[in-house]
Amino acid sequence: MNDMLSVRNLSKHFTISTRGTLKAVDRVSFDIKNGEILGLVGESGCGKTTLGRTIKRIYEPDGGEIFFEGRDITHIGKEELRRYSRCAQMIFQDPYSSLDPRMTVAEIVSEGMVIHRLYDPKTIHERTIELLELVGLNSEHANRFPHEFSGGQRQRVGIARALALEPKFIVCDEPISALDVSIQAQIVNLFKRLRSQLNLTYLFVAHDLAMVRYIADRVAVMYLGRIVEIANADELYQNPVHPYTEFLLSAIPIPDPRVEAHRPHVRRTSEIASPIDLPAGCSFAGRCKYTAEKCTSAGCELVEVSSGHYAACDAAAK
Amino acid sequence: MACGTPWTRSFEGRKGGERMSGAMLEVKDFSVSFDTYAGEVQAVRNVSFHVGRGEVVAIVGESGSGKSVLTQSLVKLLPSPPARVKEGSKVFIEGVDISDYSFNQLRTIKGSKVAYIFQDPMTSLNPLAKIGAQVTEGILCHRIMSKKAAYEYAVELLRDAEIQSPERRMEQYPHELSGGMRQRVMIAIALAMKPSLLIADEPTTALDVTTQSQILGTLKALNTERGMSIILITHDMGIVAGIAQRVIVMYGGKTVERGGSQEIFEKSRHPYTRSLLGSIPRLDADKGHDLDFIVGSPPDMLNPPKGCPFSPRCKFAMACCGVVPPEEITLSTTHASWCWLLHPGAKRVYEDFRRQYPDLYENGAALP
Repeated sequence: MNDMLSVRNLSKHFTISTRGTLKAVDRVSFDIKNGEILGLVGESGCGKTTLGRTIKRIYEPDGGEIFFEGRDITHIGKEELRRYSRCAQMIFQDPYSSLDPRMTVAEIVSEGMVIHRLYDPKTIHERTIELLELVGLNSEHANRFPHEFSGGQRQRVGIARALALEPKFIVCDEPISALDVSIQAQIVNLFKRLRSQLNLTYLFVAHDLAMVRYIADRVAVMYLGRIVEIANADELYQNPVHPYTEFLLSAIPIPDPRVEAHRPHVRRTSEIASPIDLPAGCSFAGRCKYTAEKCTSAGCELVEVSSGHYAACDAAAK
Repeated sequence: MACGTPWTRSFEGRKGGERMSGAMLEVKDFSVSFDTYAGEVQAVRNVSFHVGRGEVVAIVGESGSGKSVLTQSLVKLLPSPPARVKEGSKVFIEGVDISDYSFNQLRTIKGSKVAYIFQDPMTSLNPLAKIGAQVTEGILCHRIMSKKAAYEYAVELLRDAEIQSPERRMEQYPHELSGGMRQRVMIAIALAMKPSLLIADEPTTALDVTTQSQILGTLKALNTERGMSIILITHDMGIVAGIAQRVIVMYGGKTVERGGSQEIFEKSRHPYTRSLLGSIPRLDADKGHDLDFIVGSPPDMLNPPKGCPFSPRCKFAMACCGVVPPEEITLSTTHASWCWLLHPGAKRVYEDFRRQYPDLYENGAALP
């Protein structure tokens, strides 16, 4: 089996009492290979967090299938879900609210091992220290509380907690966006080191395309519940096909005054459309500079534009 | 963009980025401490800088480097105690010394001369008041115009901040707006009293890259079209390049380097600035190498290092760095760095530094 995770036509809809249905994730399909890092990018509200959470089965999917190492886990029961969560773990966005303020770091990191009854108490303690050292903290930190740590250190605690059950697959939900840029680089390098050391597979959710380029092997771009483009990282950055990917790339500042001076800036573009009861057609049509008449009537499906490079835009694919 | 309001004239002479003589803001030997039970936290230590008219100056540094404390203390926005602006700190606005101003005297400056945009648009708006009420609050407080005129003026302000359908927004509450929209409302509120200096404290930190580039575009337009001076506070060197004319790099409550935007980005002479620049991923560079990052975390300001604040984390630290604070070394009329590497006695280490961090476009390399 080559694929760690396969997602087929996955949907997650939320019903909003009076205003209709929010299609947070709408018929999404992709694969993640063993040992691969798939970057998932998009603006806030595009459904990337929901997708991550649905894959982790925190949310119940409304349609489609999820295969983990070839096994269908879309509707597995409580007991099997427990076993699944040993293999798949999650790292959350906000290191300030994802750690229980009343638990010590040792308690936070070892909680999973206690619940799954993995080791005896002495081994659990040893393993906790080992994990803390693995993520760049040390044994002195074990008995402290989360408020005593900086954002970067807290995120390291969150990573240690995710690694405690020796998972094969980790959903990283914007693990770096709440941190300072210099600290982001530290954490990204840590993720890379852990991947090769522990042979991990990541789904790396982020909104910062530039940072994702440093970590991901392949990148998927999401817009209003749909994946609009998916390709190898280098390919995506060099030859973006979908206008939305182009738009995202053009928004990233380049740290060089001479380059910036000659770069046109995006101004006054409309904001992301409301994801509730989307109209027919391409959801990006309202903001797209290439919008043609047919864009508003029928949406495009993902088609292969070159080997391994898929994009959902007919106009651009030609 | 001009609105038909009684004090539009205050903008005359500054349109199109035209510069008048004299600095908009001048800060000399500014120090701020917090008196806590654990002792004195020296958040800002002897910082001096100026902002010219119509100039955009960026203050860059990691969290905890004192950049927000510095700018908020300029008009005493921080509660005292615990915050305490130390003796000898001087602030001049348009040449007038405001260091000893009382609370009431400062009220004449807040809003009309200096306005703030705070970091977090989610928490800095009142969730119980309509956008309209929040934008007009300042104007009505100062009884400058009637309620009706203030309403119309507020709509105009929202439009200036590039908010679509402003009339509808006036009747909405903050929770109905997206993050970028709320930040625009904050900008509109800041513009209400026509300030000549806008201090934007991490205005884009909580936002998406796409929204970020739009907000930066709005700030840039305020600068070029109205000649407004802006202080942009950020930890992200990436956003500085497109907007700032000068950059001040802060670390551990001190200025470690200052210079023109190109001087800082292309030929910085401070290891901290270089590491900050190295930690930003570049879209137009090779991917192969690891990102540069700074080991460890910022210093504890209860007991700041005796010498250079960056010395414990510096790859090039020498014996003297941790003991004696470095002097200001002038590199050009605008560029100065506080680092022992530049001392004539540190030639060997300096060469190491230059080997690791060559200047951009050095030796006539092709310009983009």
